[in-house]
Amino acid sequence: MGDIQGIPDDVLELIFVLLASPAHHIHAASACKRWHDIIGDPRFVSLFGSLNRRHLVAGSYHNGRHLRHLSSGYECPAFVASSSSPPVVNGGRLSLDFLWSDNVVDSNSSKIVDSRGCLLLLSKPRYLDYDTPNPKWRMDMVVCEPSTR
Amino acid sequence: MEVDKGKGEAEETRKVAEADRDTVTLKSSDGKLFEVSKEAAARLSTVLAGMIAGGSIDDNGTDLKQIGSEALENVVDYCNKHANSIPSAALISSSISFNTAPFKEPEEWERKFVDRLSHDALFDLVEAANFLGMERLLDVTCHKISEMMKGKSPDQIREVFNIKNDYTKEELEEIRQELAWAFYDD
Repeated sequence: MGDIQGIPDDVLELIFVLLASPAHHIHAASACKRWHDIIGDPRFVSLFGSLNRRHLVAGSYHNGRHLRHLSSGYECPAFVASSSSPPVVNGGRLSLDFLWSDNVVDSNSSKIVDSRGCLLLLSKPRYLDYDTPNPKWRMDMVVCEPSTR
Repeated sequence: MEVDKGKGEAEETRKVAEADRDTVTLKSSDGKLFEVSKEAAARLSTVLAGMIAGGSIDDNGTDLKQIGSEALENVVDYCNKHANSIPSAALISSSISFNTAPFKEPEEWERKFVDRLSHDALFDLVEAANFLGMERLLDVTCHKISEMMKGKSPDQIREVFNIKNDYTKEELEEIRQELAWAFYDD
């Protein structure tokens, strides 16, 4: 009597659906195995998805219109956290700074040109490469997935 | 034949008398009796509506062996309060299956109703609402429990709900790593 574990699975499911945020789900799933099994069940995931058409937006990527690279002063593509997003996603994990820090990508001329899911496509403007005997047009492109780097 | 006919008439009269009563008597697992408006019971509980329609309501107290007196008192209290409140259009339209109908926020009086309950009483009331097929009361109580979970760490959730941590340290670390992107850095 008076025990939350006495509540049947389908009712707990309703409670978890009302949590309405994946971050809350993760914390609840970490409380005990039974809750993890309910929340991790594909049935729950699809039920939750069908009831919550409005997706959580952590923020968006911009081509340097909003942020200036602190050290150099020039603009580069960057992640800007959405102000309405609940502070559950660590914006630092979505930052693009790792691209510039090890000089993999030139932050001065690279722009985000496309995205698909969590993948970003960055490219530099087309340029003539004079290092070869016959100059050729070249275009450097980088695909990256910031959240899983 | 005549005797049989008389019996039938008596039965008929008793049924009419039963149908005329505007309350039903419910009996908790520990034998306490509660009266509730028949109209509210039928409107708010699919199970009680079925029993009323099927004539399986006992004048001396319909046995609800799964529900203790404290929870049943809260159920009856909710039905009475509900009968006295002006039902909003939103509430009426939400009486479809809770899995498909969009959830409607609890009204002010419903919020107050669940806020005054102890945790134990709240969990018992959730079970009673589920047993009696009271979708609106189930929504309201589940909403309250979900509010109690929001914004809490796994440790805090365990503490509030008195849940035993059945994860090993390794398992918990595995989950944390799997889902690290969603946690704060602390």
